[in-house]
Amino acid sequence: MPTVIKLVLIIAVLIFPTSVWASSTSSYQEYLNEFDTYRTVLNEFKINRSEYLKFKTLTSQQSALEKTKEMLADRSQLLRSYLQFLNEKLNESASMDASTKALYQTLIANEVKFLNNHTGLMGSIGSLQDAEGVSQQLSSHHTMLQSSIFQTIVGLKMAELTAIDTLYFDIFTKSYTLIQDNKSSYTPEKQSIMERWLLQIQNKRDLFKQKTDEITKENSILKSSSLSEITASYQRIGKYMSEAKQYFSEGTSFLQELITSMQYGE
Amino acid sequence: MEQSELLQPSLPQTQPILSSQAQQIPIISPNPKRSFDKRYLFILLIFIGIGGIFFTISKQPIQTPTPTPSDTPTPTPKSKPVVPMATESAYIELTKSVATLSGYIKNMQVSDTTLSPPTIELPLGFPNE
Repeated sequence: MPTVIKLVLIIAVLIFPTSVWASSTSSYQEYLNEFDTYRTVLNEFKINRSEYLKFKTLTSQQSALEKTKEMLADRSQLLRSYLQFLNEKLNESASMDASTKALYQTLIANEVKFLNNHTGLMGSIGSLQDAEGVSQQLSSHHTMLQSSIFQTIVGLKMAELTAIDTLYFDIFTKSYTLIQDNKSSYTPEKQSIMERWLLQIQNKRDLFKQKTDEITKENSILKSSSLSEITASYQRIGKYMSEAKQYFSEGTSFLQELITSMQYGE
Repeated sequence: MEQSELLQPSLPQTQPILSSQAQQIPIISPNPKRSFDKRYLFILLIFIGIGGIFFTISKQPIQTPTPTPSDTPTPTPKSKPVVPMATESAYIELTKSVATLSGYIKNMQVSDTTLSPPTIELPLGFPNE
């Protein structure tokens, strides 16, 4: 019996990562399909709207109304499928701690709840004016939605950078310990060279920390009420993240040099 | 008649001056147009030809002698002494960890396009009626 349990556990462990991978990939595919549908419906909506604005007939008005309702429903569905994809990405993130993950998932859940309510209103649309009113509801909420989306993306990327930082610091500490433990194997000149290199490696990590602080500052702007400020802040965060990654890239190549050099006593 | 002849002094015979001077002045004819001497052209062409031959000769690749392998062995760099720690598992693990870290950094996409949110059209564009 214990052998059977072990076997089941092993199979579960082997299957689990594949299912997680499939979950994110399938939700992304679903999102892409929704995007295609939305684009098609949006084009049809634009054609019908133009015809209505040109001819102002009852028939063109009715066609425009039907296409508007269809477009509004697809627009909402597109956003929901995108949020579902983000949620799966959060589930897959191994580097993000549980509390942070829960925080972002709450943000997403709130947005999905809003969109569900928004979709529920579409049944009551009876005129183009009603459609304008329902659409306006999403327009008013759009800034908050964008803020939640950007915060989640930044959270996902920051988790990746933090995981890299943890591994970087771990390698740095181990290298330092190994050098200290085998001090007698190295010449004094070699020791001083390696100490200097270690300082430079640590310096790269300090620079990364500075960038993290800047990202934290910018992150508060992401909760702003202005869409332009949110977008600008998100772009700045992207730039800081690229710089932080660059510091790690340089620091890692320093680490590689140090570890290769550690083999030789002089 | 004789008396008249006596009264008239005998004049020395004079030569017409003007006519003789006119005969002595050389006639200045306009300079004849000097034509290009074709010999020079011929010499110039010969020089160009010789120059061209020299240029072609100088441009020809110089045949470098093919190197022949010598019997002396190529010097190998002196191998550095390796510390005992380099063969221990802790060091080997460290090299593996650094390779993993390098892989993570390479694969990380800061601007992940798959994560970018969809662009949607918000105002419906119907006039307020």
